[in-house]
Amino acid sequence: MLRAVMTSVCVVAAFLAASNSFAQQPGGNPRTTEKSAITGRVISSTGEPLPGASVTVAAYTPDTRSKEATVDKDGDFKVDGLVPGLYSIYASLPGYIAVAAPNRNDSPNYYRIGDSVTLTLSKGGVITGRVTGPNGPVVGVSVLASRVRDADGKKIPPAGGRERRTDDRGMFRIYGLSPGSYILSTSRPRLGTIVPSAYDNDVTTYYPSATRDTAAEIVLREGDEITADIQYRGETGHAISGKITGVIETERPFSSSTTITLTDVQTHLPVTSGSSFPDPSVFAIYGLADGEYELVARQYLAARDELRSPPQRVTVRGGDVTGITLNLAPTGAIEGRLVFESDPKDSCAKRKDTAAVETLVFARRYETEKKARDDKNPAVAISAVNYSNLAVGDARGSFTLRSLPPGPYILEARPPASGWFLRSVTSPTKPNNTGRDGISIKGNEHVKGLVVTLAEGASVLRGRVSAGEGKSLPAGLRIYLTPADRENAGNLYRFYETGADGDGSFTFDNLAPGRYWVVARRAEENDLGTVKAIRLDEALRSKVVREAEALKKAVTLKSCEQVANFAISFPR
Amino acid sequence: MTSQIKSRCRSSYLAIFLLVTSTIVAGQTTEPKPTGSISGHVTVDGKPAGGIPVAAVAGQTINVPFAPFRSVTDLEGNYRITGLKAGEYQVWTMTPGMITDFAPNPNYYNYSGAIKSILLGANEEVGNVDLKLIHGAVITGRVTVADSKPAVEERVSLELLDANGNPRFGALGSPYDNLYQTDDRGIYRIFGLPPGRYRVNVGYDPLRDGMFRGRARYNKAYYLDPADQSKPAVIELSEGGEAKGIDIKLEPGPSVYSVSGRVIDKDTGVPIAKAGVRFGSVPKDKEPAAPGLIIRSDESGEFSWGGLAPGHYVVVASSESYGGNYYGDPLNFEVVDKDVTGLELKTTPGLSLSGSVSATSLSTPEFLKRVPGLIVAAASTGNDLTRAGGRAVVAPDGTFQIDGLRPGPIGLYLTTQRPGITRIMIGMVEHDGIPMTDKFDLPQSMSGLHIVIDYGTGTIRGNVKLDNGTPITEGVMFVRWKHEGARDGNVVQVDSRGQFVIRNLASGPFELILQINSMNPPPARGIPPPRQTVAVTDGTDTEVTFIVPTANPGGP
Repeated sequence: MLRAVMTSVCVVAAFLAASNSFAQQPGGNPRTTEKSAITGRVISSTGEPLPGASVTVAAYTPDTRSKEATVDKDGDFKVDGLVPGLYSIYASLPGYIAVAAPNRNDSPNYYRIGDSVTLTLSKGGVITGRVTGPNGPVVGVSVLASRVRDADGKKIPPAGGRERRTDDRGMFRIYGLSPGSYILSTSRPRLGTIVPSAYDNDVTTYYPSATRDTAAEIVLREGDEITADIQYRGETGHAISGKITGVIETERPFSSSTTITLTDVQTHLPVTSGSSFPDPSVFAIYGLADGEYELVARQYLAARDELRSPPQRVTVRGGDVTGITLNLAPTGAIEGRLVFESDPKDSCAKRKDTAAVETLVFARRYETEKKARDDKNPAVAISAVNYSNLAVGDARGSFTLRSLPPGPYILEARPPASGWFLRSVTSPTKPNNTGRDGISIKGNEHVKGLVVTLAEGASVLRGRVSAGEGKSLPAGLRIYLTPADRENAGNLYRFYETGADGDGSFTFDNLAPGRYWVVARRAEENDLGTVKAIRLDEALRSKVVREAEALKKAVTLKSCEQVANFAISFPR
Repeated sequence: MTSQIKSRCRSSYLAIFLLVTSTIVAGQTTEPKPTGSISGHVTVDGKPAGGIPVAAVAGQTINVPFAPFRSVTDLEGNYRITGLKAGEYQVWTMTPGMITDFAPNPNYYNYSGAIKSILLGANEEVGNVDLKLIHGAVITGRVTVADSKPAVEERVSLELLDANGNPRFGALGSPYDNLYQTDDRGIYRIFGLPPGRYRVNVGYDPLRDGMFRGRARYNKAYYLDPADQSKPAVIELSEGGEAKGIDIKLEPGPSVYSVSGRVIDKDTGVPIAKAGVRFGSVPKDKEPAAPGLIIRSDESGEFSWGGLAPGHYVVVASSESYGGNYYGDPLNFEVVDKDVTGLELKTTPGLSLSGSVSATSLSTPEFLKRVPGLIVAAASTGNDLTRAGGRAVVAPDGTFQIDGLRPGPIGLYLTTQRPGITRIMIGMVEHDGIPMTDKFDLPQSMSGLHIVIDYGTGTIRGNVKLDNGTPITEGVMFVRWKHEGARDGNVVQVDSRGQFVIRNLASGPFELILQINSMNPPPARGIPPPRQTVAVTDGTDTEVTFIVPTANPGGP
């Protein structure tokens, strides 16, 4: 342990010598208690102000209460009393839904004090209909609308849906749906008072009267109201049951309950999740169609790491499956601190005083060419999200990323403002740069001593991709920068990517100065519709590097330089 | 304790019931499969009904997620549920939209379906558990705000009135249930209602919804009498009927404001991070207090909360909910017409109370295995609006330590986080070998407290019978029981055949009182609740029978 500390101190000392850094506490005042506001507007998708909407601002630091404000008659809001940090914002108004802001950074949108934000809400569409079975209307069954394509018809990764129950006439009405394509499915009621239902053992019926493979998609445009009746199949499914070990008793209400998530291996869709309440050590899930499922049990303990069971595959074929054991185990964590290096010669970094508390840190799973997955007993759950819980530096720049299942990760830090770039991430065992092959978590290891160095002097690159004569640009165009200097060839933090706007324009901020190859190409997606990331996907990276080096379109960026009007064409 | 659902989802978690688990447990191939069964007949509107799902839900409540033992009625309306182990079951029709027609007394609210509880013996086959259903009634209408715009996702509350025109159960309708909510058009449709006389209201009611207005923008408004718009209408719902056009117009409520401040130590001025901060409303003369709330200060000891309407409030810091070791001085404040800032809640390091628990007739490890998640709690007595106290989970070795107590009178009690475990009672409290009561004065920290929990391995098995031998087919009956000489006791429900069981009793005499809310066939009128005293021994079952005189057909 001491050796690790010495190593990071040596590393930091070397940088200190190089460029007058503020090594011990990032950004001036360790505790700026001055409070400020985030302001903005809430408008409808046709541009009208929405007075009466609620705006909620939630800090990224755990255990901090969210703050709310109400939009005034001009459509403006101000959320006051905020300390420096990172915040997520959402607006809500009953009957309306959020229109997602464009996000090309693969991390959630976040805001800082002093930011001004415009949030858009739209009325969304409605899907209504009747569920009828062999005995007449099906009363009190839940109907779930899941969005499977976006408004442009592009397949999107599975996400949660909206659920309503049928009434005494078998009718349902699901409103507030964003434009896109939906599938409807029935299930036992999951909202409201917990009681058993007549539908607990039934296999899901998909609109119009189908199994998942033959479910019909409903295309919904903004403001549409579509009628979609479902003929309930009422086929009995099977159960998976067993026990959960490793549950921890606590005195907090409901913390003792464990959650089980069941994902369909073929479609990667969540099939159901349940809570083994009231007895957290026993579980049973009913109404399953034949197929292969992956089960993960979790116990969330506030202020401690989440307990999780390794994903387990279970096949249902014509009968109930009993005797499954899910063993909860602690998960891993990564701890470290942020170091900010200022440069008095090239001073373009902004928001220095609050840099640490405005830097977002997260870890993403890193796919090597030889997959860590073995299909029988995968190390990673299908339902795992591709970035870890987020952390923000505290006043001293420390951060902890919790609840990480075992595997290889690359740590990312979003610079707090323009003018900063991520120079390196070092660990006690990798004093040069983990940017070469990531950080590995084995079991429930707590990796400590990471040092994330952000340096002043980032460059900005703005440009435009143009299509050939008379041609238009395809959707989903991405622009990649790969390091052109040999010493950074394997450094993941020198690979950048961003998306192009509709007119082909793009912006790169927070770039490390240096020489890069630039290439524009269509985004590649995995079979679920998630865009592959160049820092994470070795196969994609090799391909892009080859193309970029063949194309030889280069740019050299100096410290604090802002290059505009960089032109590239697609296809080359 | 009724086995029906209370109208709030949250309260079902807090109710304490005896849970008999009967889930499918792995790999126990050595036990013979249970062969108990429950069967009967189901009618809807008096006629035999096929296709009705009936579940035997293990335990004393239907508020559980799954009930694997179930059956569906055949064309003649008969069902049979098999493979049941001994234990208590709620036999219930899973029929949203239909309700029982057996409404035995004014305190019994039909939520949905028909229900009978059955205490089943090992491999016992019980027949004639008959259930009668009727179609529920419907109330539907539209709620609007200014300019006839729809009031979206507003909660609709119903009041079911008694003969004097007063609400029988308070407000019906749960904020967690979208059955009681308007949709994007402002339209609501509430179905499955028992016949009766109703009033309908929408909007914020402080006594029901608590002092935190939050996003509740509109004040409570009733559906008004079309003939006299100055008073709420009374809607007569017939069995299976439908009341349409029950439209309500909402008026905006008062502006809401926020309150903020910080929590600091009284002497040192050091802020207390993550402190529990409890708010309460201070009622006007004769008005009850609206339910309060608890929030947490942040890393720098600061807190803020929005959504308070003008009024009088009190706030105090306490380590009871979120841990720590301090108690606070309550602070009164008033919200008039702007945000309240700069409140300073002062705290003092609290006292500790530590000791151990044991059970009357079980070893401590054995006892703790049966009552996982046992918590010892101490609450300050007295009618403080901001009751303070502390709680601690009992460690596996039986020890506990509660921190953050205020010097002064306190009361001890036991609770658990796991619902489904019967109420745990204190048998005796002693300190350094000297007996004391469970309410005492605590001037300074105390250790060496020992709580003996009244818990044993004795069982009472009881039977209620009519004196002429006619079998009981349904009823709502309870047995109140108490260890003789103890201050507190408990209540157990009698099943629909008149059977009951009381478990986990320590040796000694127990007083039982039978309370009959309703019974079929009906008992004689005017009889006082029958009582008996029973001697219980650890490790044995003791039988007891109550004989109830039947009603004379010709009159008393």
